[in-house]
Amino acid sequence: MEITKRQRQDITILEPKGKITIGKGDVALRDSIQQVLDSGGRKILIDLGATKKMDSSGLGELVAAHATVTERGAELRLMNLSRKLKNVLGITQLITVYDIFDDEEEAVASFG
Amino acid sequence: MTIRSHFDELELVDSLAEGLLRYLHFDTKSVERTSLAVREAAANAIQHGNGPGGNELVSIRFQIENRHLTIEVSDRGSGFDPDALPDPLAPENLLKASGRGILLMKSFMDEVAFAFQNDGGTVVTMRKRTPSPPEDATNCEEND
Repeated sequence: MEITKRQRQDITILEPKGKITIGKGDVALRDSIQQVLDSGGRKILIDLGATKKMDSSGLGELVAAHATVTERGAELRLMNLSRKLKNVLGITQLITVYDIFDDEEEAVASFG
Repeated sequence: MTIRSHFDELELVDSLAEGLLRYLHFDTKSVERTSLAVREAAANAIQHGNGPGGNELVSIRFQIENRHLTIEVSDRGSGFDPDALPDPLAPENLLKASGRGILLMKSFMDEVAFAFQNDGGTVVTMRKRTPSPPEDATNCEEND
């Protein structure tokens, strides 16, 4: 899995491409978020539009990301979730935990 | 099929499950959900059953009978008590990093059952109704 990173003002947008599944991509997402926080980033937007599959370990990484970001006083948003990702987040009720957007402009504007 | 207890092997499981489900005329949504349930069961067998990187193998058996697809995933681990697992939807567990695999399996399959062998090992049996009889699917292939 590849994670691209781009910047919009003070917002870091991470885009994981491929699978966020056990042993494949889950650790990469964790490392990317940690790098953003360590370099002073406080607003992180994860674009899941190119994420093809996420299993329960991938969901665990999203939860861990939420915890890490919150602990560091930063903000996390998700955007561009596919139908199947929304379904999995709905089943696990994690959809209630995140601020989720379908549009990048709205997601960017939502940061304080 | 039999796989080693390595997470890399799950890609093969994905491919085989998705191919079989498409052959059986499951729609796209059902292919995604059922194959994810198979992946979760196999990942559990590796992670919590045999242990990742161990020498024991994971067996995955697909059987089509009476308009149902039955999938059995077997490991050689010491087993667990399904009733003692924390509820991942409970408020106190919602933000835990793990514990959602069986919830997904139960959500996506018609039936999920666990059996524990006397000599060690867990067998997860999952069933899903097929959208059409396999005989019909075969006929469609022949008529094309």
